[in-house]
Order: sequence, then structure tokens, then C-alpha cells
Amino acid sequence: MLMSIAAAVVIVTISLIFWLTYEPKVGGNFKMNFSGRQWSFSDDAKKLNLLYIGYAKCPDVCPLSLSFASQSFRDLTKQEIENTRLLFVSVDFKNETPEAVAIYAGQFHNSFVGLSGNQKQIDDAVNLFGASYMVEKNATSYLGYSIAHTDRIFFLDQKGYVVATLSNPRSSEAILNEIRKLQ
Amino acid sequence: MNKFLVSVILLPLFVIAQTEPVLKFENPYIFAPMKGSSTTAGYASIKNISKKDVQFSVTSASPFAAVETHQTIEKEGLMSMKKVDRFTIKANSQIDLKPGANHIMLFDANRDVKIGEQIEVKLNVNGKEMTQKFKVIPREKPVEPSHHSH
Repeated sequence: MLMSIAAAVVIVTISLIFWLTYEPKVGGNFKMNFSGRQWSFSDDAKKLNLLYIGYAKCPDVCPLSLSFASQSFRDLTKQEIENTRLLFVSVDFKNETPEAVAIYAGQFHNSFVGLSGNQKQIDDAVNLFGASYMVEKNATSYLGYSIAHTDRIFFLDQKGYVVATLSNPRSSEAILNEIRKLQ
Repeated sequence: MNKFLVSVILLPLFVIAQTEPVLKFENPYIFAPMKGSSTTAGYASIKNISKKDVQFSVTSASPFAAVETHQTIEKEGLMSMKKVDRFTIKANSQIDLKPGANHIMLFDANRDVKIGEQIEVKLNVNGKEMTQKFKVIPREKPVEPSHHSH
């Protein structure tokens, strides 16, 4: 009788601790296209991975965020650089080729990886990280559309799980601090 | 006769007043277009130095195929870009076209746009044409050639 009560107390305690401390993991492995080749996060993961979702034809917010990230990468030590990578996912699969996206991202920093894919790959990745995008048609604009998108850097561990995020990344120092805190 | 003389004297002053610039640009610049993208953006602080509200739009910017005025806004948690026909600056006020906010957007340059060159942006200011030079600056400092495995 006493043993049964003790076992029940242990089970309840463990359940309680699990319930109080459990945080559902966001993220994971995802597959894209890098410069015309199939690419999988799990094959190419670093200790710390930064992820930004946007599009290369974005003239303002995306290059602004990537510029700040680029500046923070230039301030990293060689060792820190080896453990860190930024992935830029373009959601504009209709208008941006994987080659163009790869070239675009690489100009901000030679370690940045520009990724594209088909709609399913892109939507799967965007949903995996709880991000979002919306194509907005505009017949009066030369481009004919723009894309509203999440403006956030996701920090991923080696398995692709989100360990931190930074909204509206407008400071290289904030990005650098986050990288150093998480490494 | 006196009226004629007054008119002759005042006419040049009137013409000068009409052609005086009403907008003053500070630090106008355009980011050099990047490979893999057909668009870029331009920014400046623009002062309305007149005593009346001023509306302006952008009409052309050779060698770009098109130029537009845009606003960047946050909408339902997403960053969104909205084309606007013109910006209005109140009398003796200023607007800042700056990254992450109001900007001019330029599309499809038909040649390489070099860092340091001046792009002449044509504007329509209260119905009159005005030209303003924007300096092309790099988006990023050059980085070492890539040696990683991709």
C-alpha cells in the first residue's frame, strides 16, 4: 500500500514538473533549393543558424536586416564565424531563381546562404517556424506586386529548433549580442 | 505708364519667386543595386522651405526603368510595402525618407550603376519638374571571396 502511494507521488511529481517546464519546440529540419541543388538543413547545419525570411526584390526591409546581420558577422571572431551561419529564404518562388537568391545573399557576407524552392518547400519552411508572408498585387506599381512578410531573425540550434528570435532587426549590436549569448 | 514701370520691375522678381526651389534635399543617396535583385531604394531628408504645403512625386531616374514613392508599414505583424502616388510636406516642415520607412523605389537599371555616381531623379513638385541628384553608395562593404563548401 505504502509502495503504491509512493509510486503515485513520484509519477504525479514527474508529470507536474514536465507540465510546468515543457515548451513545445518550434522548427526542425527543412528542405530547400540552394543555387539549383537540393539542400537540407540537417546536412548543412552549424552550431548556431540564423534564419531570415523575405525576398530579394524587396528594396528596403530585407536588405536592411541583412546589412545589420552582415555587420554583426564581420565583428565575429574566426571561431565564431565557423560556428554560425545565416540562411536567407526567399518566398518569391515565382520571380526569383535559386541562383539569383544565392548570389544576392552572398553579397552581404560570403557565408550567407540564399535559399529558394518550390511553393511547397517554401510554405513548409515558413509554417515550420511560425512565420508568414502574403503576396500583395498592385497593378499600378512597376513590379506589379509586393510581398508582406515576417521581419524577424530566427536563431536555430543544430537541429533547426528555434532557440531565440529578434523582431525588426535594426541593430548589428543586438544581433551580435544574441549570437554570442547563444553560442 | 507708372503701372507699366512697376510691372517691368516686379516681373523678374515674380519669376524668381516662382522658380525658387521649395524643397531642400539633405544627404540624398541610392543604394547600389545588388546582383540577384532588380530593385533598390533611395533616401534623403527633404525640407519644405516654402510657406505652403508641397506635394511631390518621382517621375524618372535614368538609367532605371521606373521609379516610385513607397511606404513601409507594419500590418498584422508583417512588414508590408505600399506604393503611394506622392508625398506631402507641410510648410516649413521636413520628411525623412529612411530605411525601413518612406523611400523611393527604383527598378531595372539598364546598365551597371556604379558606386559614387550621381543619379538624376526627376520629381514633380506642385506640378513643376525638378531634378535632384542622388549619390550611389554601397549596400555593404566588399567581403573576401567565398571559400566555403557551397
